[in-house]
Amino acid sequence: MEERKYTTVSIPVTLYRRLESMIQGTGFRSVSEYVTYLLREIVAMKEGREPTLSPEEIEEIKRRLKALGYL
Amino acid sequence: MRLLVFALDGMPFDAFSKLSDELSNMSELRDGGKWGTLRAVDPPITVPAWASMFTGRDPGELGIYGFRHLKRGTYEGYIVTSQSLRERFFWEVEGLRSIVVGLPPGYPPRKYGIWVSDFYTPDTNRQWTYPAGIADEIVGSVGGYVFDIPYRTDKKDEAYKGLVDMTVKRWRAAKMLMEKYPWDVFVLHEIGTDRLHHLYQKYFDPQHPQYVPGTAYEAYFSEYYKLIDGLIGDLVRAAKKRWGDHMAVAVLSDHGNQAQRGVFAVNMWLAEQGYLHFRSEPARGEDIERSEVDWKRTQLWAWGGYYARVFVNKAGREPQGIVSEEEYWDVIRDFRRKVKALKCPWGYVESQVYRPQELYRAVKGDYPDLIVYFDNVRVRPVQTVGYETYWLSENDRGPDDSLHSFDGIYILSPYEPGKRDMYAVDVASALAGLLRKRI
Ligand SMILES: [Zn+2]
Repeated sequence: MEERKYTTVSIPVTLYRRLESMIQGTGFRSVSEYVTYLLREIVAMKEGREPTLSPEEIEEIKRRLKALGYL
Repeated sequence: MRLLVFALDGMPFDAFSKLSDELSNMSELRDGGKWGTLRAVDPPITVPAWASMFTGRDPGELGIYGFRHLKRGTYEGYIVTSQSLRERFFWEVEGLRSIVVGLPPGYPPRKYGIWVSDFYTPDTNRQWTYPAGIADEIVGSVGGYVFDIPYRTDKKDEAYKGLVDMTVKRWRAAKMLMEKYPWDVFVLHEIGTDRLHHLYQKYFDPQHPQYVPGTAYEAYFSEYYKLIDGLIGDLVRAAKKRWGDHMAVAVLSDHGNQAQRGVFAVNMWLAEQGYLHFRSEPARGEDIERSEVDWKRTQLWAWGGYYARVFVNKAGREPQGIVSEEEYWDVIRDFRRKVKALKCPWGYVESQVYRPQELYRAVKGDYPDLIVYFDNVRVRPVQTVGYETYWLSENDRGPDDSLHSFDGIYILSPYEPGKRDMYAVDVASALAGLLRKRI
């Protein structure tokens, strides 16, 4: 059996209408496309919360900011 | 409606007043829009200024007071990065598609829309764009990318070449992204405008104490702003050609720049006033963070930069704090009085001392006890120690011609034309409003 690529999520009709009016004049062709885009962004933001700077990088940034006169 | 934002770091309002006849594209935008002085946030510094402008939250609400913070209850500082920003930009709140180039604090890259990191970025070997693949596209189409230039230098000719090269590459990269990817909001930040003032202010500003008229560097002022103006015109025309005329344009700066009048070794002064003591004589030019401070006798100490952050060594809060709850207010009152009486080599100046609670709608995070501007930010406080005097002839970090000021500039077009001044924290709602308009 072929695996499904999409599934359905229920949202309130009023929210749907608001989203519908928000995408007018933008490049989004449907509310689904827009909602997928928004959720991807939010998920990426949530996942991106963990620190990714090493102590060496912090030191490097500090040196730069000092040389620039901000510190 | 799409919105194209030109974020010109440190462009003072008076640069536009002086040059507006030569800046045809910006003048055209002004004639079809609302414009004026943009009053910077406190403190008038790149970080937190842009973050405040695009979130609509003041630095206290953001809990970001500069490029670094002192961790409360310690004597240790830490650096503010893009990860320190917990609030969302207005385009993120509205769920709009964005492309942002160079906005500080911009490293590590923010994971929303397309993001190109800023002058924080150590080098191009790191991930400096989101999504990561954008970096290769930029290098492939532009032939390289420059985050910043070394501007504390005496090699003034070389520096200008570097400034132009950096700027041209950035705007080429921006144009490529602008045409290739769909967006609702496009923000292009240029650090070069700020660097121009730091490098050459004394060659074009008679208010600078070491003003040198008639040099070849004088022309850089109008030359560079004309370059920027031309690039703005190109990008606006290309954007309208690609995406249609239904587009708003904003030109913004986060603060102004003004001549540096003097350099003040604030910790030397605090020591002379008896607030700060050392266990051993500091070496000349030594950083206060490396000094052997006698915490058991120290009431106040400070960090420098464009403004001073003064910290009370408070009992029960700092590991070796001595100022009790009752003494706290007396120490602050006494300090305020002494700052008022401070005399510069060229006479008395007006300085400002604020508690963060007096400046912000809320005070979050690691805020300092006091924020101090010396001579309306025209005197640079430095935190290094070990000098014979607290008035220095030059910045401790190398030559520097300018300091920040509160008068930035903004232009929003199209808008009902007219000059109206604006406060930086109101930028987010003004821009979001402009986007919602269906002209
Ligand atoms: Zn700035």
